[in-house]
Amino acid sequence: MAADKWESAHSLLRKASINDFGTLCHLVAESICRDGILDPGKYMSVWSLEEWWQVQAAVTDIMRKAVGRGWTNEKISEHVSSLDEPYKKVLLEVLTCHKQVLRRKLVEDTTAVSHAVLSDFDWKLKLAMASDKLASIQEPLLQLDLDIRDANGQRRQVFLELDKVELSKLITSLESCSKSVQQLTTSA
Amino acid sequence: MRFRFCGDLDCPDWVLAEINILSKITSVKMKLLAVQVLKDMLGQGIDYDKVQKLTSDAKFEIGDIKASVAALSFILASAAKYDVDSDTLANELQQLGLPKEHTTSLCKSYSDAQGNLQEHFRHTSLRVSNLDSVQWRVDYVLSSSELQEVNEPSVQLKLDIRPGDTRAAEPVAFTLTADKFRILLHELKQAQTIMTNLEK
Repeated sequence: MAADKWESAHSLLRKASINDFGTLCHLVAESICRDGILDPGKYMSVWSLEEWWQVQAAVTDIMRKAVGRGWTNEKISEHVSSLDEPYKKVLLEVLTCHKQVLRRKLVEDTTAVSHAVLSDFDWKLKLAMASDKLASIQEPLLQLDLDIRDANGQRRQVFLELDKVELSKLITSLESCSKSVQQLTTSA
Repeated sequence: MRFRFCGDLDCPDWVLAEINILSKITSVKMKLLAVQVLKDMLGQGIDYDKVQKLTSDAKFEIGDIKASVAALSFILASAAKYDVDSDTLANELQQLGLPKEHTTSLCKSYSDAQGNLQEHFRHTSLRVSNLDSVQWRVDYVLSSSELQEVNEPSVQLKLDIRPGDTRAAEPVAFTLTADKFRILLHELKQAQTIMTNLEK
């Protein structure tokens, strides 16, 4: 099926100049990494909107597959055999230079195959000065905001306030976790 | 007049009025009453039967009992809140008209309980949330639908977060990449360093 997609897209690709194709490949690679949406405006003179979607989907697909399955250049060439030689070369070049970032993105996507994933976090350190119960507290508190993305794509904010004891408890626990992470990364 | 145990403010009129009522019971009884009030403030509960017995000699009505307990609570809580030492408190209560024996016994109970009281207030001061426990698991991911050969560790974290003081803990579980985990731990350590430096 993927081959069909590529077959129908490749005749469309021919409509673009080799330079345009190069920039398109770079843009698609970047949009994969950023989960961003590409602005078709620049290419509206080359393709219709429908054609643009087809082209974008085909290029995205081939990039995800090439990196995801660890294809060699020969294997990639095989899959895009109907593409003209110079276009093929450009595609391979773009893939080589984005390979690392694309892989990292796919690892992130793999981690996101989960009930919930931590997408971001922020913290700030506060010094509690006084409360309704005590006029002078002078206790440092760490505010930790976790931005968690659920399985259904919804973002959920979790606010956590830690005092010194709780923070050191958290760090001690995470540190032993970090040890086994390190073991796995160095042995791999 | 301004009083230190009222946070350098005027003493509320109702407390002034209740000090008069408090002088009616004996100083020993007041000390015992103060012990009950302190117990209540430390979250150990108050024995109302005992309170009633203590105040029966002075023929207190139910309204007077309530008022005296409220006044004692205010005096003790406020003094602890503004970190007033027992000598100052004794001095100020005498200025407000509480007999000397009463002040001495009250301030004795106060100085015994001051540390506990302040520690308790510190603990029960408003907190947005507390961390109850942390659980983690490290997975080594071999392959996925996204990436054929992953070979990277990923971390599962579960935090039990208790919002406020009374409610039950809510578990929050999520996955994160090894990279993000390293950054999280690093930044938490940074925050901890700043925290420890603060206390020097």
